[in-house]
Parts: sequence; C-alpha cells; structure tokens
Amino acid sequence: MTIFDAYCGVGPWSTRDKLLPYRPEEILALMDHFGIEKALVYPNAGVQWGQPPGVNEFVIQASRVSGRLIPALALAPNAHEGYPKPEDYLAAMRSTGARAAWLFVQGTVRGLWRWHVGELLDMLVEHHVPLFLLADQCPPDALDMLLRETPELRVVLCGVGYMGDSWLYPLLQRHPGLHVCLGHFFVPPGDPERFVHRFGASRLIFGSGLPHFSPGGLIGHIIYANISDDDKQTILAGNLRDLLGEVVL
Amino acid sequence: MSRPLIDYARTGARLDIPVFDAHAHIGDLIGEDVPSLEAQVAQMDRLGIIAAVVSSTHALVGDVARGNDEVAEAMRQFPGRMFGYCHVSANYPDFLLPELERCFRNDGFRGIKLYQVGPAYDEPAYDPVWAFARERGLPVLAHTWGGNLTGFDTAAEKHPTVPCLAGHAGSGFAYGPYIDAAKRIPNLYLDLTYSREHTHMIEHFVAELGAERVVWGSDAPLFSMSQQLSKVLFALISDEDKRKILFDNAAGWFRLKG
Repeated sequence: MTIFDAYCGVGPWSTRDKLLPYRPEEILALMDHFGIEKALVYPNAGVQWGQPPGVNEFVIQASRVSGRLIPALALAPNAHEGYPKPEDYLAAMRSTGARAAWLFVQGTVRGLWRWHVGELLDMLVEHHVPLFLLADQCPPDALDMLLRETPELRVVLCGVGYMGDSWLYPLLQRHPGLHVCLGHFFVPPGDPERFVHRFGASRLIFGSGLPHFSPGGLIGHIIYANISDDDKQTILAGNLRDLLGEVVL
Repeated sequence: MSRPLIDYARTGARLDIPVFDAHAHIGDLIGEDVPSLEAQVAQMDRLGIIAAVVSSTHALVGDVARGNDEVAEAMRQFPGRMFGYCHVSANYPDFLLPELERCFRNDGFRGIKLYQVGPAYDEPAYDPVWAFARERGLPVLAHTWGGNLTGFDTAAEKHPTVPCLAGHAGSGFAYGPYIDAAKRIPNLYLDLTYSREHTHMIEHFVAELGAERVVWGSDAPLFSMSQQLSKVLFALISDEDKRKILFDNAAGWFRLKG
C-alpha cells in the first residue's frame, strides 16, 4: 500500500518535548521506517502562534530538503499593511509547490467568521485549495457555520478526539465538503468500518500526527480493517492525492 | 514467527506468536456504540490475540456487581479467550470484600481492577483489596492518568509481592513520573493502553526500564484493538522486546500459557 500522510508537522516549536523530532531529516527517517512515501507538512510553530511572519519558511525549507515533503501554508487575514494578501499566498503556492492551506485558529487568526477570513476562504474556493483545521481549535458550531457560509470549501478536519463521533457524524451528514483526517487519534471502536459504511472511503484521509504522534497504530488500524483493499488505499493515499490534484493555481 | 513483527502490521497478517491482552473491557461506554462481544472476539481472531483479561464498563461507571456478572457471562461464552478482572470500588466500602470473595469463587477471574475515583489507592479504604491480592497472589490493574498515579506507586511499594500494573502509562505525554516510579518500585509495571501514541514514548520506556517492565493491553472495545497492537509492532525496539511486552511479561500473573 502507498501511504501519503496528510497531517505532519515540521520545524521547531516552543513547547517541544525532548523525545520529539522536528528536523526534516528526522521526519524523513521516520517516514522510511513506517513506509510513508510522502507527507503534506505544516509548520509546527503555526499551531501555537497562528501565522507569525516567517512561519511558512519552515515548510518551504523542508520541501527543499526532499520532494517527499509537500508544503502546506499557514494563512492569516490581511489585518495590517504589510501582512500577506490572498494573492501573496497564491504566489507563494505557485512558487513553492504548496497545494494546501491551514488556518490555525490561534494568535492572529481568532475565528472562522467571514468578516475575518472571508477573503482567504474565497481564494481557497476559487483555486480548489483544501483547507486544514484542527478540531480542538474549531468548536463544532464554528465548523458548521463555516461550511454553511462557504459550502464549496474543501475542509479536512484533523485531531478529532476520543468520543468525537457524537458531533462529527451529524456534521459529516450535513456537509459533503467535510473530510476527516485519521490523525492524530480518530480511532473509535468499530471504525473505520462504520465510517466507510456510512460515508464511503472518500471522506477519510490518513494523517499520522507526526512529529507529536507516531504513525504505526493508525497505519495498522487501516491495514487490519475489515474493508476492501481499494478502500484502504483510498484512505491511505488516494483521497489526499485527489484533493491536491484538483488544485488549480 | 516467520518474519519480522513489523511486517505483520505492514501487511495485515495475523500474528503467529502468542499475544495476550492484559487490559480490555466488555460493554459500551456512555455515548459510544461499541462492537458486540462476538465482534470483539472475531477481531482478536483476526489479529492473533489468544486471550484477554476484561472488566466491564458498567463496573467503571459504578454498577460494580452488574459489571462483574457481565464478565462472568463473557467468560462462560468464550472460555479460554476471556478472563476476568474483578472490579471493586472503595466508594462502596461495605461491598469491597464480599464482592472480591464472590468473584474469585469463579476461577476465570484472574486479577483485580481499580478505577481512579474516590480515595487514593494507598488510602486505608483500599487495605482489604491489597490484603486480598497479597494473600491470593493476584495482579492489580489500576487506572492512572497524566502522570498522577494517585497513590498506586506507594501502594505497590507497600505490597512488593503484588504485580501492579499502572494503566495508561505516559498518558498526556507525562512519561517521567511513570518511569521514576517504576525505577523505584520493582513490582510496578507500565501498561501501554492509551488512545494516542506519542512519538518515541514506547522506545523511551524500554530504554529506561527494559522491556520486562512494559505490558500490552488494548483497552478494547473502547479503543481500536488493531491500533493499540500496531503501536508495538511498529515500535523501534527489537522483536524480542515486543514479545516480552505482548505476552511474556504478564501472562504468568494470569496463569496463561502461550
């Protein structure tokens, strides 16, 4: 099976534990061990601070170390003169090969309201760029509002936690544009079989949660699942490849 | 074993080494629709898990007698595959000793399960439990969380002949207190059940303590059995260490044979 990791951080961050890798070379060595061919990488520092100047340099540098690391840029609204505008992000995507974006709702990004991030959302929709979000930064009602107000947006939700099904499944039912990333621990009992039966394999995307979380458990969770090999391959790589392949820059 | 253990997880092959689940459950948890007992055993078959020691989620949420009865019924349905933890709670002090005596009239019960509610594990309220475990040579599994062992370490130290299994070791990435306690207390073992899988944590436990002090459990059906098992199969440790974690270290406490 080919594995394409949708949820992998790179670069330093302030609260790092000594056990955790952060350099591109360390991430690549772990990808080799776990059999991960490519990874879409976000800047670790962005999770805590949103989009301080320069945070995207970590993923751009990583992509220069290896073509197996595909950059995903952290976005922030153009609140002040000197901040990047949507067209600046587009230009950066064109020049760096980035094909995905993150909004870390933290620091400079305070919510998913259209009056705050609407220009960015419109840019993502126009160019079919998937938007990645963290579940613990986006309450279910904020996600619902986002997907109601911008239904054409392709959203990938990462980090859905233990016992999250009760709000996640109704949200998936309401919004066909919502995808769920397996990492870091979307592993409720009976899934992925139950998820695939209800929503199909096309909305579940493999992501490891590296460098914070180790990929082995999640890979085994899919490999041992009682679903078809085609569905396994779709989850492990196909869905992400398709989403990034639809991007028009 | 015909090939490296990591290859089993890479290909979805059934394990052909003995694997024993030292921390599992039966029943649902509030809000979760979990697989049936039959489906749980079918998943054990698919992975190659020969047996599991279980406690009931109904005991976890307070209905201790009902929970232990459910465990007895599961053992009756799946003899040799399901063994039991007798779950007791010091929040029901009059019930402690009679429930232990009731459970252990059934030979399928092989250990005691404690949950982190009410008194700490080293408070006098739990003295009857420790005395019972000591006299009968029973292992004790206790829920711990986030580096707070809630007196389980000091209780283990006071009862050095009782194998003590600290549940969810390293949860919240608080691995330090577990390692420090296990270095100090030879009969304290670390249980790996945890929905998350922090990078390099299993490897760090093994490096600091030796694989002999680490025990595998799935926490199924609350967690994914295959995910929990694959954490160990993919770990950057030797296959010899994986075998110790998956079977050798704890099987003897529960009188299981490979």
